[in-house]
Amino acid sequence: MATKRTMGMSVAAAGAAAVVAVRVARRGRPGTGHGPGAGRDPDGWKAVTVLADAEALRPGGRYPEPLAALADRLEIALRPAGRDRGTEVHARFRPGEHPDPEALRVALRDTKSLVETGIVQRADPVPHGVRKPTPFGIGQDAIESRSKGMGLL
Amino acid sequence: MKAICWTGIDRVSVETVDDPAILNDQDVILKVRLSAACGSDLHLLDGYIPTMRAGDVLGHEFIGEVVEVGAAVTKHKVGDRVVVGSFIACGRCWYCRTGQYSLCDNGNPNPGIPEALWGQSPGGCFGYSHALGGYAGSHAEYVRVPFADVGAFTVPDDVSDERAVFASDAVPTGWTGADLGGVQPGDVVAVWGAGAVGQMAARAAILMGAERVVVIDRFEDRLGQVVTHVGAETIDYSTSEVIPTLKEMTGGRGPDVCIEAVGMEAHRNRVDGVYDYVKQQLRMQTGRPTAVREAIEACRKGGSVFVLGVFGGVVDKFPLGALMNKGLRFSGAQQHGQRYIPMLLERMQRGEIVSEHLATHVLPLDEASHGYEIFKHKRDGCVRPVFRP
Ligand SMILES: NC(=O)c1ccc[n+]([C@@H]2O[C@H](COP(=O)([O-])OP(=O)(O)OC[C@H]3O[C@@H](n4cnc5c(N)ncnc54)[C@H](O)[C@@H]3O)[C@@H](O)[C@H]2O)c1
Ligand SMILES: [Zn+2]
Ligand SMILES: [Zn+2]
Repeated sequence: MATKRTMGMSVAAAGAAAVVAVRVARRGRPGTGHGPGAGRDPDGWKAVTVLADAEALRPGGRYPEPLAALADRLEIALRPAGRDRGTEVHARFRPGEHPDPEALRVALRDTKSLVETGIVQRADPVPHGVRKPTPFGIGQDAIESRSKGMGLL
Repeated sequence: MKAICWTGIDRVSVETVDDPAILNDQDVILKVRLSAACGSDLHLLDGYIPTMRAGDVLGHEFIGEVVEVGAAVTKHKVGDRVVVGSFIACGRCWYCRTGQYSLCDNGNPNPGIPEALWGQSPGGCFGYSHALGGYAGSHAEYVRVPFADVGAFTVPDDVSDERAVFASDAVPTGWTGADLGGVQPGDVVAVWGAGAVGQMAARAAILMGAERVVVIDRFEDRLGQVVTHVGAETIDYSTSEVIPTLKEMTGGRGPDVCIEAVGMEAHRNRVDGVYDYVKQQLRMQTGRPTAVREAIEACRKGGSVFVLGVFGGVVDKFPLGALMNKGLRFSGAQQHGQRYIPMLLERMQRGEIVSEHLATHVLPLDEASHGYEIFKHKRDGCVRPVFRP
């Protein structure tokens, strides 16, 4: 019974991991990106909404570091988000630039967090007990380490 | 330090792990005074929440003493006794600003995992899988509290640890259900589940002016607590049929608000429960929504059903027809603790909310296996084992 349940868990967890992996693979495959951002949006745009006005997003005309580091290679458009929601930051790689959708997701998420909170939150290094190097665990660590660059953004 | 770690299905162990450190200037480190196990931990233990990793430190309901303070923390100092909301939220994104703290945009460093599962990422949570951030939990001697000015609250001197610890999770969760479920003065409210969450949802409904509040479960000791400490009525579903009883109690209408506080491992008291059990074991659905279905069937036309019980993925045979044709409002949430905790601590101070009876077993960390065992099987009157490191 214990074995069956353990397997059941692995199936469920592996299922979740597979969903993540498939989505990443689908986007990472060369040629499937329609636009220069190689994202799901046909034109390669990705966006986050930041609870701040456009000025606070670009103090002195410069974006916060995570976005500034890529800014030369990006087209960036700011738009009011409507209601009380702040500013939308839309970005994509310029035509001719090699698109790196993972880096763009990380840059957008970290920029948002920095502007809103002053920091980028993290859990690592985290206190933990014994972690045996099982293939499943190693796979999960790999997914977690890339999680901010993945997802539906 | 010593900590209780998840090591696999149905297994916990007490291990020596690294002490937590301040990772950014908005953190504090707490010396844990009490840390309670929650029904949500049982879903982790039973293997229904993916992305747990052997060695993860459990626990998300806790009270402690501040022992180290990050440079940007303004509300807390060394020596403060604080209770901490179980969800990790920044306090400054649009969701936090609108009181929806568990939906925080900046609290979860692993947003790609929940986005793949659910489309968007909620905030982070202590000791609750890598999908919710991979943070260490509080069943340990020390715990790091990120965004401490937002998530930690000083406890008034005259509120005991045993009462205040539940201001972390069970009490604000119950309040979230009654508040967002839309309880109005004069309502009849039914609550499924007489665990800590169900009891505190019932208490919240009473404090919001509900005329009748009834809690449904099958454990006599828990139903007894509902009568004695919460002041609500009860239905024992092992001896009474729930829906006809509720109809009779409400003059044939059905309750105005139905709060589900059972979650994905509902007991199979009905034929559909057996079906749910088999499908969940085969991983053809990830939760057993038996109580959710019953709540939807029981609710009055045009009423409100609120899901507090945790679900991770998809469920089967969802009564969408009843929901649509009866014109119900249907919603759910992880708790928005930060929105309610200051008010709840005041109510605890005034004795309007009593919660220490939920701490049926106060144990050292070393008794983790025993604590979770009696909690899981509801033995020995266990409602929540609470660890004192
Ligand atoms: N939304 C949130 O933020 C939040 C916070 C904490 C806990 N939770 C969830 O709330 C749920 C309850 O938590 P808890 O700590 O009270 O758990 P618990 O295990 O102590 O209590 C659950 C109760 O539900 C009863 N029950 C089982 N099947 C039932 C059925 N078919 N009908 C009526 N009652 C039934 C059980 O007998 C038990 O008393 C869990 O799913 C937990 O994960 C959610
Ligand atoms: Zn909980
Ligand atoms: Zn937030």
